[in-house]
Amino acid sequence: MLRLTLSNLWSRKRRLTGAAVAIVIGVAFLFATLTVSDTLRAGFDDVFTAGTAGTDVVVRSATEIGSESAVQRGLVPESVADRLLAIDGVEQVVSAYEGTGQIVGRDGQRVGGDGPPANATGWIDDAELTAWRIAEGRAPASAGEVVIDRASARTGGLAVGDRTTVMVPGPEPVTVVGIATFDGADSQGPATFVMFDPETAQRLLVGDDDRASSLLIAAGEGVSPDALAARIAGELPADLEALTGAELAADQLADVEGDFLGFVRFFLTAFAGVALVVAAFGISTTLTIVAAQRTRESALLRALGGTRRQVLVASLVESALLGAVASAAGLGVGWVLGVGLRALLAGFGIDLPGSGLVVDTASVVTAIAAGTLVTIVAGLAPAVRASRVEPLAALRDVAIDRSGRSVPRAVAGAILAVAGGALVVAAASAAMVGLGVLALLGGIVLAGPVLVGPIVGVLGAPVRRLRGEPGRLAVANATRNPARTASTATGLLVGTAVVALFTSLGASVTASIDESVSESFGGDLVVSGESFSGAALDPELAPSLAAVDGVEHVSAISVVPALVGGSDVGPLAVDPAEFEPLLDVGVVEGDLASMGVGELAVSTGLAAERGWTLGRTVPVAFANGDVVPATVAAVYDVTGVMGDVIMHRDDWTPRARGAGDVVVMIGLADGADRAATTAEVADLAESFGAPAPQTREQYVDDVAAQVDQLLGLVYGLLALAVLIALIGIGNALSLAVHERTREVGMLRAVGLTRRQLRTTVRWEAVLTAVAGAAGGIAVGVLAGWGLLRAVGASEGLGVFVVPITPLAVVLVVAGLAGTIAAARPARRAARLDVVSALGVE
Amino acid sequence: MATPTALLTPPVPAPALRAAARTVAATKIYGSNGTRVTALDEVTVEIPAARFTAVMGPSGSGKSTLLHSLAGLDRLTSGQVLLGDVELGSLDDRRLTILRRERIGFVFQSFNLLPTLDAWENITLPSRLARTKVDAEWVDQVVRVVGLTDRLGHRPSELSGGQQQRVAVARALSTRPEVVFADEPTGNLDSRSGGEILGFLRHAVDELATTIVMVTHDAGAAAHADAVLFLADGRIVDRLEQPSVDAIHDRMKTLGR
Repeated sequence: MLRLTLSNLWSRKRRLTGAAVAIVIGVAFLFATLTVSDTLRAGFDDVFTAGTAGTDVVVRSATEIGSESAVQRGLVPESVADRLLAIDGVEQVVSAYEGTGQIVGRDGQRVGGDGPPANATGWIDDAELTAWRIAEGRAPASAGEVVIDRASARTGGLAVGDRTTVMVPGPEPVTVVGIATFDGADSQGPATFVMFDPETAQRLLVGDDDRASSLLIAAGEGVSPDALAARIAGELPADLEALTGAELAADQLADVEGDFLGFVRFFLTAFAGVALVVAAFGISTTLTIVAAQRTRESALLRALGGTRRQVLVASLVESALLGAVASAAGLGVGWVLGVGLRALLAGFGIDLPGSGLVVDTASVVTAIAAGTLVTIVAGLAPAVRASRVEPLAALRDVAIDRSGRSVPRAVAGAILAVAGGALVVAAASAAMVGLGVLALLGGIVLAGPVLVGPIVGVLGAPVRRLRGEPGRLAVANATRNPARTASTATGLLVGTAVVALFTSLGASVTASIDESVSESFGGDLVVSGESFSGAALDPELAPSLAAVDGVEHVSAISVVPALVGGSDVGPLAVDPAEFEPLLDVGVVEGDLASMGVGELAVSTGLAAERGWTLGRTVPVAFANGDVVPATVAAVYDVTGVMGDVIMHRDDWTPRARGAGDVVVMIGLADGADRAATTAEVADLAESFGAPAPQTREQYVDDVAAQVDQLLGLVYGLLALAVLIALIGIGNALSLAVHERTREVGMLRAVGLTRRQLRTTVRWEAVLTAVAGAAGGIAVGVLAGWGLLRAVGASEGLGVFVVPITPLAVVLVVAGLAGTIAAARPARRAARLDVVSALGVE
Repeated sequence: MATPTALLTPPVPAPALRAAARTVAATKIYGSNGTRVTALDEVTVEIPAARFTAVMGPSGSGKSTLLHSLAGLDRLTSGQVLLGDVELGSLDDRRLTILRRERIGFVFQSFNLLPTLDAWENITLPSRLARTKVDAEWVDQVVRVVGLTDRLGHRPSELSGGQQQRVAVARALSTRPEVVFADEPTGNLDSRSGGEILGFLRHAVDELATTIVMVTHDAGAAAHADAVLFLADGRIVDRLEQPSVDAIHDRMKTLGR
């Protein structure tokens, strides 16, 4: 039986190639994804390990508050150092000062822009405790002297002796006295580094005379770091902790994994999953067609005494082998793709030095298992169908494949689809929307063979009218095997649904922001800081802007890493009197404008959740250990921009340690010369190293552009899934043409020209593609709407928009893509020799 | 060897009728060098108009190749095929296709209907491919002759073999073609259905003045023709006018040896 299976596979290799290609691409993408994230992880691991290699123990604050861009860890009193030095085994203790600082390059641009982390630290003059080494020049010795990493020196065009500025976040004039390398590399991964002398670093980055970010400890000869860390921990006050260097590296890696790496991995794996699901439909179609063409053979096998189980097992072994071989090929392609993907990420500024691709055994196993499993699952239905062939079928003419049109199946599909749709519409959480979409897709798969006829009929009406008989033939061909057409179209449906989901979400995000800005923003200009690099606006910018002639209100907004009532709700700090006229947050109780130090404004949602009322006192805990009681002075409604808690700026500034503002909002006075004032604001912003001010429209456009950029990335990734779907369509069509060879011969004999024949094949593909894409758009838009309805309010997205134009473009592109998919089968059909085609039995 | 007289007698000259189609030194060679097969060897023949001509010969004698060449489905290696005044070799694929759908009809052994179209749609397919108006009166007449009037809405899968072949005959006649080529039209049918089909073809010649060329193995079928051409080894070796079944059998026996 295995021999028969193998020879079957071999004899059908050409027909199976198309299906295999879909698997190869899907597996390749998955493998590339896993490998690239492994590589990134390994790169980060190398960097962190190198950074802490000589550090035996680190003492730092146990308190860390905030998330993403606004994380703050408490400081360590330097007085602890003396106590540490007294501990047996401690040889050396050095203070580390860390913060954010962007280097301004020779061209006046900030090196790295809004990209990788921009770090500022104190220079550590102990070769054991740091991996930084001076490559040129010397270490910083006094205020105004810095060492920068070699990568930044290169991109910024800076050399030893050059004078430039460092934004920390205010501009600090400096002279580059040295250029350093990190463990032999130009920098620590993609991050930029500027290193001050310790006193300056302490002043600029910590803002405290007798505290450090952490204390780095070198152990004496032969002292175990683990034992020393344990000994030190015993001597420390409760708010400090001791870690070994290895533990710190692992901690740093975990941070990156939980944040950036985890996101990249999830994002890419999700798209690889979509690609594989799409591939599954293509394979299922191919295997179904192959099984149908083999009905006679299966029947013969049964007639000769093969059991049902033998036929079933033979088919399943065939798909397993096909899946395994294609997956193995996918690994090779995936490796190449991984190299490319890494280059692409590097293009986005996400790069790490060192080793080539890290190929993990787990990734190999996962990719092969996923590819094989998907193929087996896709081959399940055709295999079962093949095993059900009656032995007598060997003697009969093969009828048209009418599988999948049973009434119970259609009813079950319809029920499932309606239930799924209802769940999507009524869902209260993203997870329920996902479940609803899955049910909807399941229903579509079940009911597809019944649905596809009417859908293609409607779509085909103009084709029949405009393309005459070839059009009619195309419509008839697209509906003659509804199960096949449905499963071919479903592949594209899945891909298109994801495209439509992201497109409608993107449009809704833009529209929601547009709406909330136009509804609540009463100001005229906005200066926004950067979110990726961690570089913010100089806190001095807002007060300086207030002095500009024609500017009436100025309020900075900063993100505060603090726990309010014990939970991390991401409070924002503003200058209430200035803020209130600029942004309408819909105050329902109390007064925001008169909110003072030691007071808070909370959202109605949070107030209801926590049972907080006006006048209630709530503890606010900062990273430095301060816990301040604050009184609820206002309750507001509109959380879109401002989140759940607003506090007074003066409660935050003393504890900000140089953390800048994220946004400065500006309102111009009535009758002010807008152009002149805007120009003056722009000049001032520039002198603070801040981006140019934006009008409301520019701000909204900017957000829209960011959304578009993200959508561009998503489309790029989905292009792969769509490509697989198209391969599926082309493959199904090739097989269909092969199956209809004699029919093609007859049509050509009775007068179908080659051109008409190509038209027929092409429109069959276009109809299939457009049917799939239309279904996908419907599902995607519904999912987007459900998602926004379920979680939009909490994310500040109130408006749902169906972006007609982009979706119409998707539909047209699907049609064009169908044409491309049909090119090869159409050409082959047109090339068929009439006489020999007629002779085919 | 066949009887010397039979082989040495030149083909009986065609009666002085107008030729619907003819070949001049038609030669068709398949393969090259080692595997050369000469399917047609300088065949010059005329197909008289409004007559029913059968083509017979042993397997590999070239009868199908002759039919395909006359019908513009296959191209010659050398020589000419003329349908009326048009030399088929001079036409490109598109013109040849258009010529086929406008001036030629086909009936195949295996019916060759489109499973997705009903009987009426199959019958009118050539007209609709040409985007010309279906000549409803004519098609109605043809449909009545072949007795399909109450089966027009049926798909091929809902028709018997004999009915399907009647649809194919009606399709072949639907455009009032100059010549209908039939390739073993009764080969897949029982004798009663086959007899009916031959009756329709005969009728088409006698009443509708159609020219029919039919390739067949079956002497009984060939006996419905006005004349039988015998092929052997790519050449026309004999021609029987007003053939009887017995005469055909005799002739075939000598050829088959």
